[in-house]
Amino acid sequence: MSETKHKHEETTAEAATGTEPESEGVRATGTASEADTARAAVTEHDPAADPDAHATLLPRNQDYYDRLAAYVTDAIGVDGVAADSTLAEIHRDLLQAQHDGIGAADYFGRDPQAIGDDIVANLPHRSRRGWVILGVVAWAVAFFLGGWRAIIEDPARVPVGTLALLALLLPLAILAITAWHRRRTFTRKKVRTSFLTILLAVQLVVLPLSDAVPHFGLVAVPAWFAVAAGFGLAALLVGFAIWLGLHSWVFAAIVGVLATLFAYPAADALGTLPGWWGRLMIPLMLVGLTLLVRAGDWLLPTRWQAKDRE
Amino acid sequence: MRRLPTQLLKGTLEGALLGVIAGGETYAYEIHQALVAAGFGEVADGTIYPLLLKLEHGGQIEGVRRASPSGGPPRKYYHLLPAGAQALADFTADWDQMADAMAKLREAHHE
Repeated sequence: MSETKHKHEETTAEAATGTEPESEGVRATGTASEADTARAAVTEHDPAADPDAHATLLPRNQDYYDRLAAYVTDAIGVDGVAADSTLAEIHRDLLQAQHDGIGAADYFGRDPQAIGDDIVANLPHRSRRGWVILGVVAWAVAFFLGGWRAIIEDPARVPVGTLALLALLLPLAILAITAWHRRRTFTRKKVRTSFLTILLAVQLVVLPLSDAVPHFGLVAVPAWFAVAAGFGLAALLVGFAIWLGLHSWVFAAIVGVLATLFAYPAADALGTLPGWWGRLMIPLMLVGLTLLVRAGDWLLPTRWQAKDRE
Repeated sequence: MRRLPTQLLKGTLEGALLGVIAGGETYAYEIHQALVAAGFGEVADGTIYPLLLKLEHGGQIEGVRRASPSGGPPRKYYHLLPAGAQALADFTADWDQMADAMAKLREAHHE
């Protein structure tokens, strides 16, 4: 009980001053009345006198929450919307606990991995039908992206059989990498998004390994198909970005880059443009597609754009 | 106040949660405070959340997002559903039976 009281006072002092103790071994030696004074001081200077007014967690508490959130959201098959909703509630509770002078680990539990497992077990999961749809979409995306890469490299020898097989393996590899990344959530020094781990693993390991797979099912892709596929995929990307309606220059630039990756080889298949036009094609495409996304964002009526998730 | 054994809490916490929610619409932090004040000791809030999710999924409680009175982010407020009221009644009956049995055993031991 007295150990809990000391922790209580330590976190109260932190909440009052907005600072962390210099080391984990240092404990506040204040009495209960000093802790009350500290809490009162926060209350006096805080017009709202409300945990909502303290919009941020202290670093140690934030780290606790970030790791728990990463562990729950990276769980395979968990409903993302339900997970986000639960985590938002937990964040509110941690803020309120912090305001009352209780640290995250003391309030929520000293074994966040076990708690995370319990939460994940009780969250809704993707249905079998959802898995089938996701599997088909993931296969199709992997097949088209791999196919596009193969068409750019050598349109006369596109290994459709190999691509169909690799399109099955790539999503499974991503799931395995996500699961591996998730297992280390509470042991790694810093919380890292799984997206970066997946990107690095795919670029450095999965793609080079896939190049070693023997090529079979070779087909020659006619130039018109490369042109249609390239421009078609670029148009699809731009249209999707406009539909999302994020109204962001950064997002528009990212989409511009991706769409250029499809549109440029397609334009190149039509024939090399002479002189300066040829040299400027890539930057012109990039700028043009970015502006197209922003213009579409602005022109498309809001009721036709994607709604925000709650 | 003693820290209650995990196994004992596991068997009773669900009924305790239903009991707190039966008292009126409430949210997770408030539930935690009520349990601590009632004498359950230092119950980690992390054990409450999975139970709230389980009860909600089981149709015993319902959570509704509502704007916070202070103007902060909305909170999820839970209230009891008919299935939850029935589950609470069943738990209360089981608890009373067990309490009676324990009382008789203690009486016999003292005799």
